[in-house]
Order: sequence, then C-alpha cells, then structure tokens
Amino acid sequence: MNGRMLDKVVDAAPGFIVGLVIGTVWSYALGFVSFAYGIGGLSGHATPGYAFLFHPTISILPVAILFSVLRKRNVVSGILIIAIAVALLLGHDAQNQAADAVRESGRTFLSAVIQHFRYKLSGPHSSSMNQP
Amino acid sequence: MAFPMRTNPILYALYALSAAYTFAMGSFAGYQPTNDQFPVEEAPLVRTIELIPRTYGAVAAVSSTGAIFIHNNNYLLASFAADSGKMLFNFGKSSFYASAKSGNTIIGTPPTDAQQEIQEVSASGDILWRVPVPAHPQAVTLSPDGTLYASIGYSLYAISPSHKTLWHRDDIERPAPAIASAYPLLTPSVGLDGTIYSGLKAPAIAPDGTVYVNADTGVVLAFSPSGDRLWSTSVQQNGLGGLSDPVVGADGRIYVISGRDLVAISPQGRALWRYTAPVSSYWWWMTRPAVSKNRDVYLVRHGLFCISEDGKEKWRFHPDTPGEDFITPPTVGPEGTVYLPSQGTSGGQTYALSPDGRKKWSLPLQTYSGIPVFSNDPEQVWVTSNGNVAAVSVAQQ
Repeated sequence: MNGRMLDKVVDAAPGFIVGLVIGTVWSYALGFVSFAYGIGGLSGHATPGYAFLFHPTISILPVAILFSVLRKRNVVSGILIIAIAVALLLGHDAQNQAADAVRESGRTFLSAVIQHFRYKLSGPHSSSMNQP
Repeated sequence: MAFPMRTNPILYALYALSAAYTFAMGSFAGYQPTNDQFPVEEAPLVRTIELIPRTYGAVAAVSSTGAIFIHNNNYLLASFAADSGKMLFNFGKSSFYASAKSGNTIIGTPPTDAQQEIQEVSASGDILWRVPVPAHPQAVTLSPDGTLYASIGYSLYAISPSHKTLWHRDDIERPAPAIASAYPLLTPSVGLDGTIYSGLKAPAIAPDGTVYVNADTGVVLAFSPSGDRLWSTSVQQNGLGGLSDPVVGADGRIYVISGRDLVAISPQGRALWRYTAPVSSYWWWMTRPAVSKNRDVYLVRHGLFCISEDGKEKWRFHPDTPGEDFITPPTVGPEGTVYLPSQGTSGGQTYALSPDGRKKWSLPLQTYSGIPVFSNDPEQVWVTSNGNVAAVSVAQQ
C-alpha cells in the first residue's frame, strides 16, 4: 500500500467505524423489535402488515439514506457493510431452517426454492386436486 | 478524504441483493415439499352417507352386514346403517378393537368400568359373548384362527375362539416403575405361522422431566402360539423415539418403526436392514408401517416413503399442499393401490396412488386421523368426511 492510499484509509476510518457502530447498534435494537413482533405472533396476536418495516435489514435503509444526504459517505459505507452482513446471516439462518424439508423433498436446493415460490405465486397445482 | 464515489452505489446494490436474499429465505424457511403431479385418473364416484346424527370420528369398520362403525379419540363408538346413515346403536365409551368375520366387532368395556371385558357385539348392540379380563386392554388383535391376543398393561393374553384364556405372559420387561403406566404394550401382530409379535415403547420422560432409556424397552418380542417366548430383539437406536406396532409382511418378515427408522426383522428375530427416512428427527410419530402384497413397505413420516423388500427407497410422495401431513398409515388395496389420508389445518384429503407412486386421484375427504377402510363387493374405500361417511368406488374398470 503506497502512502497516498494509506492516507485515504486513515482519513476514511473514523467515519467508517462510526458507520459500523451505528449499523450494529441499530440492528441489535431493531432486532429486538422484530423479536417482540415474533413473540406477539406466537402468542396469538396478529402481526401487523407494517411489521416488516422494523426488520433490521429494512429499517436501517432510511438511516443509510440520511447519512448519504448529509454526504457522510464513509459512515454510509460502514452502515451498509453491517446491513449486508446482518442480511446474509439472517438469510443463511432461514435457509438452514428449510434444510430438513429440502432433504425430505428429494430435490435440489434450487428446485425446492422454485417449487416453493411457484406455489406461493400461483397456489396449489390448479388441476392437482380432483373434486368429487 | 472519502472513498471513491462509486463505493456507496455498489454497497447499496449489494445491500439490495442481500436484503432480497434474506426475505426470500425468510419465506423459504417455511417450505414444505409438495407433489406437482396431475391426477392420472378421473375422480371416482363418491357416495356420501349422511349420518343421523352427524358424528365426527373415523370409520373403524364396515361390516359385511351393511353396518358402519365409527369411533373417535374419546372412546365413543357407534354403528350406522350403510344405506340410510341412521344410527343403529350407540355403544358409548367403548374401545373398538377388531372386526370379526361374522360382521360383528370386538370391543372393550369403557376404561373406567370396574369390571373389564372383551366382547363381541353385533351392529345392533347385541352382546354375543364376553370374556372378563383383569384390566382394560390397550389393544386386541384377532388372528385368522379366531384367537384373540390382548395387550393388558405389561401382560399379553391369548383368548381362544371359544372365549377361554389360553395363557398370559406377565414377565415382559418394562421401563422404570415411575413411568411404566405411560408405556404399555402396543397392538400385537400375528405372523403366518401363528407367532405373535409385540413391541414395547422405548424411551420415556418422567413427570419431573427425567428421560429414561430402558435397556429392556425398544424391543420386539416373539411368542409361540402356546405362549413360549421365542426371542426378543432391540431395534431402538437413537435414544428418543417411540416404537410402532409391529406389522408382518406376506413373507413373514416383521416391520417396525422406531423414530424415523423403518426396521425389517426376520422371523428368527434378526434385524435385516434399517431405512432412515430423510425427515426431521422431530418426526417420532408412532405410525405403524404398511406392507403390500408385492412386499413393498410404506413408511409415513410427513411424506410417504415406499421401501423395497431389500431396504432401498423406491419412491416418495408428498401431499398436494404444504399445509397437509401424512400421519396415518395407508391402506393398500388388493391390486396394490395405496389409499392415503392427509391431515391439514385447512382440511385433509384422501389420495389414491398407483404402486409405482403416481397419483391416481385426490379428493377433499378428511378422515380425522382414521385409516381408510377397504371393503369388497363392491370395492369401496370408506372414510369419514365432515361428520358424514363417504364411500369411494374404486372397482377396477
């Protein structure tokens, strides 16, 4: 790394670290809100449609946009790095939850995903059920 | 000094992709496999018999005399005329055990009665004979020669066709006393040579949460028709997980399910093979297997798995919708068609599958955990549906 690049990194580091901290704190805090909605759903309360806005991955977007408007690009970079990491972790965790069902299906992972979303989009196979 | 201007747009794009991945996988986490098959046959003729009064339960038997027996989990048992649907007799809190060749049924007195009996009763409620037993049988199996084998607590009773107690075995191993009452014998099964096979349930959780795995449980026991103990073999392998009723195939092999494992045992008591269903280990449901005449074995564990006689999976079948489960064993018709009920939060269905795993048809007939009952002359499959009974004509064209 030459001296000029090192200067750039040193200059960007404080804002980037601030962004990482903001992203981490935000994700933790909103993670608890999502968790609370989940508990409410388990206890029989209807989860409101807007609840997904409190998902850490979604709710952090306005924060990142705010710092973009304020031209704090290094802070934004830190926030987005955390947001991407949280999103990948949550997505991977959810993917693992379906591992048993994928194995049971006898399909490849991609084929199972396609089947799942085809069902979600079009409902049951239109002529798979006979009527008496 | 900032990073180049391009950094944030790239990160925003990666963020959008990762967020889409998260939400896609969040939905996919609830994935349940379904089948994508079109039915290969037209829907069969269904005759609905409106029960008077409407009765929710499962079809226990359809007698040759034209009576339908309905029972439910609350030990309620009643008979209905198959033509009019009118109730013939309400047996009240009785246990249904088996159908006799005469068209009558073998039942037990309510578990709360002081005097416990096994009875043969007609559809109109007449008691043809009764045999006193020391306690309420959990299960009774009728052998082809008319001998009854009853699991009573941890004892096995043999009752002759002339209604005399032939023998009883009270020396069957049992779990720790604190949990013994939760682990009685399951339904015994009678082999081709009259050998009786019976299984004990395996691990147990005591009221204080302690988990016991008793070395003497998780075994299949064999007794000769005269009551001699022939062998016992342990089939339980993975600690937690129950043991299903044993089922004897046409070749004399014994099949039993332990957890998600299907185990084949030779008539000599040797474990031949073990097939582990590729499902979550939480599927410990103690549904017994079913065996077809061509020696295929059917294992129900959320989906249906068809296993060949050498322990290899031939095919698997899943319900039409993710909200359905297969939790009761199928009924295999004489021509090999598999009749299989599903249970679902928004209603179950009854499926007919060809022996090679293709869906012949599916009908929105919920069986309330009952097993489809097959009757000959004419060939029909009987299931309950919304408090009534549906007779599905399945005669081969």
